[in-house]
Amino acid sequence: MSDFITSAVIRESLASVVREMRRSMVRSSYSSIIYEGYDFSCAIMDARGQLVAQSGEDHPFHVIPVAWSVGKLLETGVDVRDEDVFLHNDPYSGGTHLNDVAVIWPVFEDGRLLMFVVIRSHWADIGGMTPGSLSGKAREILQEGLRLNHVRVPKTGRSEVMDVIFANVRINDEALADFRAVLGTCRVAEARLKELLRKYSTGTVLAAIDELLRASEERMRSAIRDLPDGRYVGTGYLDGNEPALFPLRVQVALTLEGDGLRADFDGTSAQVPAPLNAGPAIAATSVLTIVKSFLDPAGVINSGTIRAIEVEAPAGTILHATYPAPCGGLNEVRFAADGAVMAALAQIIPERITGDVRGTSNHTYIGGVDPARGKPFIFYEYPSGGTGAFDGSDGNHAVRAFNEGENVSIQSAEVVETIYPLRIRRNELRPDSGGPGRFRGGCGLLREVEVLADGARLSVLSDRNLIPPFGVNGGRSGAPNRYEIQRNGETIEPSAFPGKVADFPLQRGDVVRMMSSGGGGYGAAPARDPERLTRDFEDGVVTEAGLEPYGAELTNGTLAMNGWPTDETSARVVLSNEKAPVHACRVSAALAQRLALSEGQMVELVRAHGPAMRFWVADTEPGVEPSIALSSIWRGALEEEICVVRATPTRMPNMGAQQDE
Amino acid sequence: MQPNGQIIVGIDVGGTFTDLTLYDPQSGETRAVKSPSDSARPDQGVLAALDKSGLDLGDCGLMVHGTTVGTNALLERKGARTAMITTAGFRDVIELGRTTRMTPNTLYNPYFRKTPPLVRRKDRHTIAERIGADGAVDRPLDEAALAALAKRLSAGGTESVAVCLLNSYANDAHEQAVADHLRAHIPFVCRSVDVLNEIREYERFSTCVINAYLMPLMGRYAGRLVDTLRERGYQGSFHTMASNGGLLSDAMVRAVPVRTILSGPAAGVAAAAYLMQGLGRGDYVTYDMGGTSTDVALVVDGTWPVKRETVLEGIMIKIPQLDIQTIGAGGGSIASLDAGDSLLVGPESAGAHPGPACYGHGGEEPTVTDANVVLGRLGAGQELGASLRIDADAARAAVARLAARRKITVETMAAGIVRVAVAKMAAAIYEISVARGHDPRELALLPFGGAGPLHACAIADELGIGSVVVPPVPGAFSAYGGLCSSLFKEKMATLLAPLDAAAIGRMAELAVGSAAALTEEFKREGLSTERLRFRREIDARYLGQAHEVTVEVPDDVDPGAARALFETEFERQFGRRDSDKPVEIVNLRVIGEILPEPPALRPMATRETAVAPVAMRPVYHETGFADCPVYDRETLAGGATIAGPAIVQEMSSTVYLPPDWTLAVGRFGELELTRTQT
Repeated sequence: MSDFITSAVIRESLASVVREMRRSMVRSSYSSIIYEGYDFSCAIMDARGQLVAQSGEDHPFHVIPVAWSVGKLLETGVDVRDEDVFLHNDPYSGGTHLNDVAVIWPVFEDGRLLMFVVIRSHWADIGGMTPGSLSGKAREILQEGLRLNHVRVPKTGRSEVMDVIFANVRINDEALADFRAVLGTCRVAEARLKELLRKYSTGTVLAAIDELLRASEERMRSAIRDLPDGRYVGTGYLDGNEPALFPLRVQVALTLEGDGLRADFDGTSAQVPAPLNAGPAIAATSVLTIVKSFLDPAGVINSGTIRAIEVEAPAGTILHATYPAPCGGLNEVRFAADGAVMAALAQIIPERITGDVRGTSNHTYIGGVDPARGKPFIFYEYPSGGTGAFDGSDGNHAVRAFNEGENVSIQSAEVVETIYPLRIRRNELRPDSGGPGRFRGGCGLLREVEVLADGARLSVLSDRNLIPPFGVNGGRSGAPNRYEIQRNGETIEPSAFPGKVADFPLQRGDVVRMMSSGGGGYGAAPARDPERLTRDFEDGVVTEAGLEPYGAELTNGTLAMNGWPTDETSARVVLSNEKAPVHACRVSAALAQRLALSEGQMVELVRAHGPAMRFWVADTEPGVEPSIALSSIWRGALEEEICVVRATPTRMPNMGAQQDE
Repeated sequence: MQPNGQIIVGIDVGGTFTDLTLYDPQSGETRAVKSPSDSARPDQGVLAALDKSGLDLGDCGLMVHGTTVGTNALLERKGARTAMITTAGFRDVIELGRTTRMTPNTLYNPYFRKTPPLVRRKDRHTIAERIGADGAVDRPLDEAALAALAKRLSAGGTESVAVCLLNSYANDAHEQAVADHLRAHIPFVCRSVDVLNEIREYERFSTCVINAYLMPLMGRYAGRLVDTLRERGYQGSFHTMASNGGLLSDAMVRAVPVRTILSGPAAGVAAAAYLMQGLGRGDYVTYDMGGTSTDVALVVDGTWPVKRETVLEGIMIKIPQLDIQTIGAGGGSIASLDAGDSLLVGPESAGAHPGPACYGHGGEEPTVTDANVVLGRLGAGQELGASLRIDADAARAAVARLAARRKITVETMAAGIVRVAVAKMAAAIYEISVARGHDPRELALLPFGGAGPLHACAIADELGIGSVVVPPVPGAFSAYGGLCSSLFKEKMATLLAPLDAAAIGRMAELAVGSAAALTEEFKREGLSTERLRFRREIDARYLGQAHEVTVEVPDDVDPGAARALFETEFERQFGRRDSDKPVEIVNLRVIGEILPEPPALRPMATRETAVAPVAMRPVYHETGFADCPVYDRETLAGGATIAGPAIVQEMSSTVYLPPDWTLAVGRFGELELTRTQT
């Protein structure tokens, strides 16, 4: 039988082992975050630390870094023995955030190390300064819990090291039981792998793995080969967590040459003393996730695909954090990196790109004491947003996006009302939040939760409350995420800095309004098929207030599209040779006057091809011709001489308090 | 259930053919009739098939009917003009769900399009009212607004309305008031609690909307069919297969048509269960391999696996359904080489049109069926089903194109395609077995469907299974299933209470009331309740969990015994107990079942004559081609044995018996395949 056929058969068997691991984890875990939230991932590695198989359902940000976790273990040169496993969670050496603990379980045959089974699972608590370990207030990683750097533990799980660990986490009964479930699952997987090695012989299986990785690398390279050579820059932004002139950013330059792709994240913001940093595995994770999704959605991710891509993220940035930067919100950084890579890709394959997605996890907690039961409660949800539009289709309303796992992010209202002192007042899509476009971004969620207890508190770790998901090819941004409180008919902001809410005191009768972002639009809104707009209007997805970007208006109950809306202003783009912050712009007085722009305000350059680009007004200069001056880094990326410039209502809060760069 | 001597009729309405299975209890004979379906008027297809059978309808007793009319209307979006009325603030529950994609293989797919809901947003109307979680009326129903809305809906031509109010499981008064008012204006009205009386609004609303969407269509279809049967002198009881393998009365089909969705695969499992019970075998995997996909189900101790919710193409349906896993690999699965030259089988399928290359209908991509033709396991010129004849040259040419790309022989490529397909199916069977705590080596494999018996031994080899049972007429096995099922009805109530003496007392009270109501319903449908039996199930969970485990409890259960039953089941599913945690009862379900009188399995006559092959042809085994005898299944008498390699052909299916397997014809005409060496 030909080798590549045996390789295909072994591929199916390895995939089956990983699927069985997933089911076993769901069946045997104690934490709801595992058996309902699916916050874990399973992988099979070879002895060289290459990622060989994963299920295709694991969170990308979880499973891809497994290759780094094992790679770093092998780099340390530590003695790997049949009777031990290694625990790893340190973001600086391939981890995600400290709550995600990887168990790296070696598989030996005849005294020879052949493979690893790895399970990375979320611990409800890993120590640190607050219950749950993730805190928006962390300023250094030591406040986020225990760092485990390839800690050796026997496969039985019984050791003094584990005693130390369990003595330093909250909810330790559950943690211990979950840990045993992980070891049990690894043991089953090890047995199946050994059976496979015996059935086909070790040599055949290892050769099959090489063939699988070769085929995946070739498949990815062939997708890259189809793209034109060149260098393409993209930027993604995070709100950050404190006032600054400019938001945090991830910047990427993608260089395509033949069948190779290099991603260089030079220009990314320096790491911050807030949990908005990510370890070195995340940059490559982001590039792979986006490149695979747009170039080869049906392909697999393994070390073969990883080999086709070269990634460089400078140390000391938010995308390659070093000690002691806290990494709890690594996902917010990862989403910004995803946005940056999409923005760069959008210049290469504008017709295949989609509008941007939510860009944050939207962790929302309402906690307090239930007056009926006299017990503490914590209500936790993390609402999904609308997804980006693409050529031929509007985005989806409030659903898990393509770059995140299938978590159940909101609970049944009826269940909530039976177990918490809360009443769900509204669970609807958020009209007008989808980015307008020829194809419209999906709408976000509008969910209202009324508090029926005294003394409850609201905490939110969200981002992109200021910077909305971008549109592409002339499409507009979706509405950003937003949190507000309704109290006695008035709207209250729960925090000075949007989206970063810590222990806001709620009163009985308060209504927490959770509003998730809409997806970015695709194509110019006035070019939307009038039938589609009419349908949106009939469905209340677009209301009268949202007609303006479409150049449409309602007269005597009839919808008419009249062409380009009045807020479209063209300006000449001037690329400045002086060293200026890449995200800042200088606008002419004429443009500033026409668009009522002032310092700190975000403006968007809307382009016929590629993503809308964002800049923040640094200053204005005299000049009659509407023009906008940008850093010369955009040379090549911005070929258009004249661009549509759009003022957006968002601005950094309290700008000027701190000068970046 | 029917007077002695009347003929029992099984009807299976498929997309292409309507199949009848006729069982005469006096002679013990079973007969099959096949006739084209009428997709525009499926009831006409049924009547045509009955005409073709030459039956006198006056001689017919029980009729059991399996139909895809509802499933097709749902999948093709051909249901009624439906509106939804819901609580203010909850207009988008059916569209948002839990904000998950609910579609496999959509991670990493930026072009994923979520399935649009059956009822557009503009047709989802809200009404001011609110019931609390405790059942109290927090806000009275706005009757004036309701009256205005009803008039508008009626004027707008709305045919059917789903009434879906929050917390109606705790108090259905508002749903009832809305429905009562609407019925004066709208032909079809359905309340969410009538379809699914349990907590969780998304599942309940979604199921209710599907039901409302199908009510007019299914009501008319069943009405026309039954009326015509009656006009033609039929006096027996007419039933429809439900998704859980039970039967629905005519009245139930009209009221809860959603229960007919996905009943197709259930029939096969029901038939398998009946045959295996007759053979005295309890633990097995059914394996139904069709053109585009394969359905597998694990049966343990003769008990059908039931799951309570299903997602069908992105739409949530919460009705009890047989737990059948579908794998995207069938006879029509296309083999291809990807950009990295890796061999893939599926998920793309040639479907029925154009079908595999060997169908000669213009298919050019090589499929699993074509690979079997190249290997000689399906013969050139052999008939596949009713109207297809195998074009071996076309199959060979399709596989050869793929083989040339990797510079290997056509046979090696064909064997490789079959191996990868077998690996996929074996993996799925392994996973469903171990997930429920069973070693696949201890199970038997029961293959049916056109392509099942062709791959059964290879799959058994992969899994270490030593016994394969090929049922009689595997290609039309499902049509037989309806005759082996019972009539089910159930009543449900949400308790949401700690499992203690008070809850058990309340449960007993509710159960007695439900049983009386069910008896009354059966009687109203003109059924004898002589053979009616009741069972009770509870959905329970450890306090603080979000999802429940279903267990059957005896009528005289006490709190300790109920807890023990729950924990045993929990441990079986999740591999552990949380014995320090309190248990909560979420739902009570009372199930009334009228047991069937299915066709008796009749032992087959044994003959002493030697078995003789009808032909010899070269068939590819592990290492190469060898001449292989081909038998006609019709000619095999009870007790006959054959040593592999061999091919056994019949009209609807083909068995491939590899060299180290033997075949014996069993008592009821089933083929017992056994591995001679391991």
